[in-house]
Amino acid sequence: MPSVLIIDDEAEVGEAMRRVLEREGFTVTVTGGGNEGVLAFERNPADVVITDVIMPKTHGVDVIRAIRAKHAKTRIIAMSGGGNFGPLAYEPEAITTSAYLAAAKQAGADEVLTKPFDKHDLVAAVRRLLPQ
Amino acid sequence: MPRNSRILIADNHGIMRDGLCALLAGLDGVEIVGTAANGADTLRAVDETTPDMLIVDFSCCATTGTDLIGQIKKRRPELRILVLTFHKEDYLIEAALRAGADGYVLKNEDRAQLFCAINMLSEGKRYLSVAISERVTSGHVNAQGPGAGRTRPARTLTPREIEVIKLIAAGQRTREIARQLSLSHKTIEKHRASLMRKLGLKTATAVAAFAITHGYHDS
Repeated sequence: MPSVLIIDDEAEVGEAMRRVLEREGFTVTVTGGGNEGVLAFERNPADVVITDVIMPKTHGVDVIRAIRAKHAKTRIIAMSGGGNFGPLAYEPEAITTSAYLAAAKQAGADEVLTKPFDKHDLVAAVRRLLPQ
Repeated sequence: MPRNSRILIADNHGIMRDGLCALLAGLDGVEIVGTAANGADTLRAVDETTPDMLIVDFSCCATTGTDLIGQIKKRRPELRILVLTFHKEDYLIEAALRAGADGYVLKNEDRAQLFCAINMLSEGKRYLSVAISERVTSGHVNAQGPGAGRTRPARTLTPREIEVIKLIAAGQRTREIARQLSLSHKTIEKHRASLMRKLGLKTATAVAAFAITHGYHDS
């Protein structure tokens, strides 16, 4: 079964994604921060990495660079909803969302997902990146 | 799309600098000539890269953000300065515009606002995003600064004209407005014609739309 590593500092988001992807038959690991995610990947490289962009300490763009530096073929999905808004809702069209995802793309993300996304978008993005 | 703009980006967040570079690099006629993370670097980069436009977040220079804008405008008055920030406090907006900022956009606004601002500034115009424009025209922010009057015709309205435009926005007809303000029908017509001339509006519908979009409908 293809494996997926999810890196998101919001535990409930990570767990929700885990449930969706496990139902689709993927083997899923969830970690709560950038450093932790990179270490988890080094221990057990996943086929697909899904990382949030805005996280405390190590942000997603650095996660992507760290993984890309050693693993050119790993498939990576970056996700963001703007960040830095505290309790406010995700803002998919916000300047920050666009900028963060553009930075993630430039760092080597294969796909970007704008929060909020639904489970079909998530599953479709993962499937697109896996060999048929 | 922007016309041949050489842009310098000043922001204390590396990911934002990277992201803006990546985002704007895709626009026709835009060249990113450099980035800076703080006030001192920004001043140096302005001298070294001679940009046409500076996109700056106050946060990159803490409490001296507006001083930085003032300093840069003194040295390079022709340099277009766009503030791109999360800060929406009235006193900061006002200080930035007084210091000489040519545009002000909030980071959590739609990206189209950023592209529009770059386009307008590159054509020598000023630009306030929708959220900021509403603060300014509703009187929360006094934006008297270099050229402020060009973008804020509403500030030239008299108190009576403001009363009239509010009632137009509330859907009232001339006779109703006259009755409410205890004025004659002809006097209201005169105020209406005057405010339309000042705002460059041709129809009553345009007046109502202006009033609603500029915050006169609920105050």
